Amino acid sequence: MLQPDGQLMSAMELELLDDGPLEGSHTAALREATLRQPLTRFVPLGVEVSVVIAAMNEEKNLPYVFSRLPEGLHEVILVDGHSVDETVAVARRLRPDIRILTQSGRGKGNAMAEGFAACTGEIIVALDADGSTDPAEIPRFVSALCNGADFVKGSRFAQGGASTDITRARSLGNRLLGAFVNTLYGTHYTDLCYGYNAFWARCLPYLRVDCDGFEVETLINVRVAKAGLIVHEVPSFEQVRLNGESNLHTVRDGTRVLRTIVRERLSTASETAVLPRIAYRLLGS
Amino acid sequence: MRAALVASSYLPERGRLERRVDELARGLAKRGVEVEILTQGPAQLVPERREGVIIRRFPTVAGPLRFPAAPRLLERLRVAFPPFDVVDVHTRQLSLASAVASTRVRRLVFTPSVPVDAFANWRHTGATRAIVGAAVEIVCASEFERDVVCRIVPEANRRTQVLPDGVDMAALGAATPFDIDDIVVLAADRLNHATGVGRAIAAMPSLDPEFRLVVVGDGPARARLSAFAADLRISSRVRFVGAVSDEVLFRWLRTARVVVTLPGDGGSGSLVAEARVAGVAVVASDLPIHRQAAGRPGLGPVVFVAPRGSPLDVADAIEEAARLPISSGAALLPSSATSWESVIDSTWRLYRRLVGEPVDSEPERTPSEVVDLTPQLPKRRQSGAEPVISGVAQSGAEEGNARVWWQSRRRFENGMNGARRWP
Repeated sequence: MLQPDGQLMSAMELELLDDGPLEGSHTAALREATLRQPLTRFVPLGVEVSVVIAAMNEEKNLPYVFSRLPEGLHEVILVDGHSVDETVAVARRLRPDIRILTQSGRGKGNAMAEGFAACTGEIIVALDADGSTDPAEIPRFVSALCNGADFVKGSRFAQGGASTDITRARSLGNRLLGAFVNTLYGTHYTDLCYGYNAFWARCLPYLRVDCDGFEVETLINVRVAKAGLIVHEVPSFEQVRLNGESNLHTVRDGTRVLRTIVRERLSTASETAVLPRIAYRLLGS
Repeated sequence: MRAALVASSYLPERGRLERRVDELARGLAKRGVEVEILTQGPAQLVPERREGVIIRRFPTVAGPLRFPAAPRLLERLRVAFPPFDVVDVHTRQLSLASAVASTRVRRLVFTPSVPVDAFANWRHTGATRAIVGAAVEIVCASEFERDVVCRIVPEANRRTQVLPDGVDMAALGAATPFDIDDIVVLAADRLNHATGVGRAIAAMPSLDPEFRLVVVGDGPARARLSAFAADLRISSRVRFVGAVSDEVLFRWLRTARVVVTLPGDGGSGSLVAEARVAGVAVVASDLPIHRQAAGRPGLGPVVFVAPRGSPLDVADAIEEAARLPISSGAALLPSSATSWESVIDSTWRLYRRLVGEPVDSEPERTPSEVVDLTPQLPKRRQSGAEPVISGVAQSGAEEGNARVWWQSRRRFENGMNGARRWP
């Protein structure tokens, strides 16, 4: 079977499309995702791309994720969050050259921070291990970086992007929080809380990931905006998690995101601004 | 002759406008002109007197009211007796210039200051026309400013002349560098949102730890910039020295390896000119006014960056500028560089012509203005290695050692990124 760009699909992709581990609406979502994206299988030559995947109990999803990784990657780093299933073994079997780290703390933020610190490539791409983010979109992110961006964030709400996974409540919360950030920082983000991002490794000193939870994407987006880095958005398609349950809780994590936004805003308040400094101390504690 | 120099702000606040007014006032006073500086600020009971110059400050606030121009300043212009022969307005604010023009003083000289782009804004075009129409002479600090003014009011072409800011070469030559081993990157400007000091701070995390940023100047954004540096965890590498005297500024200029001036628009070429005369490499926003300053004589090379680009590009440009060698064994060439003395002479001749006094011909510059800074350049600069990254040849004002650093260079000319690996 041919992809829209004329390239042959791999045997694993065909298996997944036909009667692989996916069922029902998952298959339809995957088919839609595959057909709507004119993707290349290669990252641009001459640039070293590191991919960081944070995973916890994702043994069933890794085959799909790894099958969609483009060729020519510098390294793939899987940060294992103390999985109790065969996540690590599956990863090693699927990709012998993979670098596997076991995170020292807990949470996605901690996993991302440790994965970023271990990268040796020029470009770092962060994506999810649950199969909701399509690794085949990596060349699109890399191209945007090579065309002048310092940081490229995927967007489900930009033209050409979509999501079959997001609920109305999460979508509404995402938009409200995004509008809040845009107002505070003068940005034009269309999707604040999406975990598919890529950036030059030189941007790491500006990110300083020091949170644990799902607010990590918001933290990164806000710090990138504060530093004045050039941010581009590329459309991205998010499909339903293939297997397992999500650890994301709308209200709890939404509150953490809001707290992160406010705390980051207060962190740049001058020393003479007493009330913001007190509020910052309270939020930081 | 009585002359009033109307300034939107004046010392102790330090910026290009304040320095120019200060130099002009003192120089004109030495030439026998009775000079008053009329500026806005906290009211004072008794006017200051400094080196023969009277300084009067007038408040713009009266109770709950805030005026675009100090009412008592305008009153002073109207009722001064004997009246001023020449009123020279140096301002960043169109409102003040408009108010002064409305007082119908006898001979109004208009010296627009940064940001000149504001004058070209369609909302201000009417006011600019009114001011330029009321002025008998317009003095611009650069060809770019003159082009902007003449584009708005073409008939002002004959009344417009260019007098760039001067460089105090004797003081520069006498200044001794501070004893600092690290690579000093100097940003000297008013600290507000427009001067781009924040971009210089944002570039620091991407530079090696041996690079230190010294910020000279003060302004409303100082606390915010300081908090910004703390937020980026680089407080130990960024030093705010506040507003300093010219002597201290020159010492910092002689200490710095790289001078950065990164306004998004407006800007002035004075810092670029001074840094180049001091033999320091400059990283500047790619603005016409900086290009013209880079075209003037001097030793220091200039690296241009996009006016609103990435801090990573600024960091790359600073690294490149720090690697560039400084010309050795060459004396400064003040015969073509502008000294403050020549600026004051030109202004004095202009005033005399306006009041109908006989005007001497252009004086010759004295040999004492020639200063050789090369022996005093820090040794590390003279032994600089050849630049690693070749510049992009440009034409026009950028001849010589000016370079342009755009994002595309970093991305594509040097292995897509050209950057150091991290970590």
